Amino acid sequence: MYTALLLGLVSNFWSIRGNHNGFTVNNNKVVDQIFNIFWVLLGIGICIQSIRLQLWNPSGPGSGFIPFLTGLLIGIIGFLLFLSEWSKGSNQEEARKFWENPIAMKRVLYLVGSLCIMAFLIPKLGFLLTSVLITILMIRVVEPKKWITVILTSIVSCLLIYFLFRSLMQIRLPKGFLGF
Amino acid sequence: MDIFHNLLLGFGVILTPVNLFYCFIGCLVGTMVGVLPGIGPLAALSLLLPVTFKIPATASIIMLSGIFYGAMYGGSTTSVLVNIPGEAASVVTCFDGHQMAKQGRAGAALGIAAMGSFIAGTLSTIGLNFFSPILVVVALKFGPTEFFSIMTLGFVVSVFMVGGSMLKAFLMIALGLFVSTVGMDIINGAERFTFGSANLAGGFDLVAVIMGMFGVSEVILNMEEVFKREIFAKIKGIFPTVRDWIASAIPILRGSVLGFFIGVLPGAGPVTASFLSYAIERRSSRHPEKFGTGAIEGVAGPEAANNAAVAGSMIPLLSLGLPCNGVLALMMGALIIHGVQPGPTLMAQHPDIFWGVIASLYIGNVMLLILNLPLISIWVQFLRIPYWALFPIILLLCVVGTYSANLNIFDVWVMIGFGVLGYLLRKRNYELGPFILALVLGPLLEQSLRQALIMSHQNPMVFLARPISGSLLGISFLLLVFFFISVWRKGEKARIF
Repeated sequence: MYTALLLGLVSNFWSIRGNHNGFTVNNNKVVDQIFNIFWVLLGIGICIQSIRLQLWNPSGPGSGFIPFLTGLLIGIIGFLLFLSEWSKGSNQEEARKFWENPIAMKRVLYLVGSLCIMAFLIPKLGFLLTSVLITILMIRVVEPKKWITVILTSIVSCLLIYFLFRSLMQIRLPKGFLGF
Repeated sequence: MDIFHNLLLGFGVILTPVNLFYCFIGCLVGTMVGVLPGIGPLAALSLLLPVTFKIPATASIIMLSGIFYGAMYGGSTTSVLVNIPGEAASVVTCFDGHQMAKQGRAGAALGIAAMGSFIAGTLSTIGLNFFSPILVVVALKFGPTEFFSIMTLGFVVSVFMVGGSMLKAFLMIALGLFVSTVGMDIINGAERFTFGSANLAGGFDLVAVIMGMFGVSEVILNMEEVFKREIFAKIKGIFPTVRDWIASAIPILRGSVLGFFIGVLPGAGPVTASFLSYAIERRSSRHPEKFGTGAIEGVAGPEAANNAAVAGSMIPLLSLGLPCNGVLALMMGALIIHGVQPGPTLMAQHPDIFWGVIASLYIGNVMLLILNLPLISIWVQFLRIPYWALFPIILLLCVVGTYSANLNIFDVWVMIGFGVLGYLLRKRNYELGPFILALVLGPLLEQSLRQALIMSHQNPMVFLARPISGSLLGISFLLLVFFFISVWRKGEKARIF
């Protein structure tokens, strides 16, 4: 439920227009700048944490040495990309929407949501039951086929994978309250 | 004589029922992966990585390499029949292969692609056979300084080879290196970036990160598009005519040599080889205007080149322990999981793996020729599987594969997280190849750097003072300078940012 709520919020937020100039979060240039700011912040965070880990000790480089260098590189490159994006005008590709097709956005969000629900439910319901339920959900969202086709495809796919990993490769898959 | 003696040992290894079986499975899965658009060899390898936990190291690496070169064979089928490349190295095959199919010559295109792949695969395996032991002798002189420098060169070349922004590629290398440092410090045991989580003490699981970055992100990306496939399923005359052979013989030989040497370069691989071969064939042709309208040379050369590049790229992995691209990085990961460290000592410590893999390439190429020519109509049926039925299976394989590595649901969350990150990065033109290269090589790079500095009493000049190391760093520097000058002259600012 929380995942569905979150997905709803994300999809609404994504389509909100910020001002009259047509600023929208769903724009490649804006997404690029969000990425660049993220890189700068990540770089700073890594550097601070690396300094705490000790950069250098009497015998040579410490635990924080390599992470510090990577943080520095991430931060500097992020900043350069930010400046470059800031200074140049928006070209045709960058002015395009990040998700041009609203259906594509919904599919992607539902798919990620389904995977999260799956990871959450597997320890509780077991692999087989969870995977059948989630596969039905995923196929229905992506391609609204007949229920019988979707259910059969899901059951066959899940049983096939269960048999391959559980019986042939003897890998222990999580069991639910039903015992499988 | 030693080489022949060792090759016999290799054939002794591969010609056992178990290894032949896994070689066949690798070729079969590889062809299938190549045929199916929307899943590349890297994603397939990451999906099958958990399978290798239960089988011996030699069989694992034989199977994984089978998938790699099998995908190169299979990729051409989709390019010719549907005009959608089955994997990235077959993009150029679409240009002329599909035009040939439209003219009713799909059989000839597929036939020459398979034959060319077989010839190139065999020739490059002979090259691998002779060059690898020579490189091993040189590599035995390598210390931590040299390893650090050659890895640096590998990173520079991988940046050089990406088509898009160079800064973004460097950023991906830095990110990959950072992700590789999460967990326990290999030298003093200090916990890094774990934030007290026991799940992160061992670092991010390689399988989870790779499956997320390549398997999950690929499915999410494919969700945005709906494939409309127009299949040219009528295939007749798969054996090329004498005229086809005359036109294709030189491009196949040229593609084989070019692909082999491109493959050896760190950071390059089958994709670069196929594009370069197409460009060379077009430039050297008497009728360049025919390229793009169904010229058989445009199929023969690139298909030979991408297969030759596979064997070429095995040289640095087997001799130096350096994976040239993402697929090989994954194969290296599989060997490390089995407790086998690829590198100069591999030939001496595990001759069964070293020579077994080389011999398996000969056998695998024969298997692939049989799988791809007479059975082509079966592979065409795979193209009819709708993506809506295929993607849940890929995702389930990702989930089960990731979980089975450590039997820990936390890894599945890691996979989802990296899947979303990989999707966003790919959508905004960040190349994932340099990331995976840095992720796999990260621990070795850090160990080499710190060992070299400790051994030299913290003197950083040691990297320049030793001749091999200094030369490798010099080449890296010159490559960067050359790159900047050429970009500056052409005014291609987009190649930097």
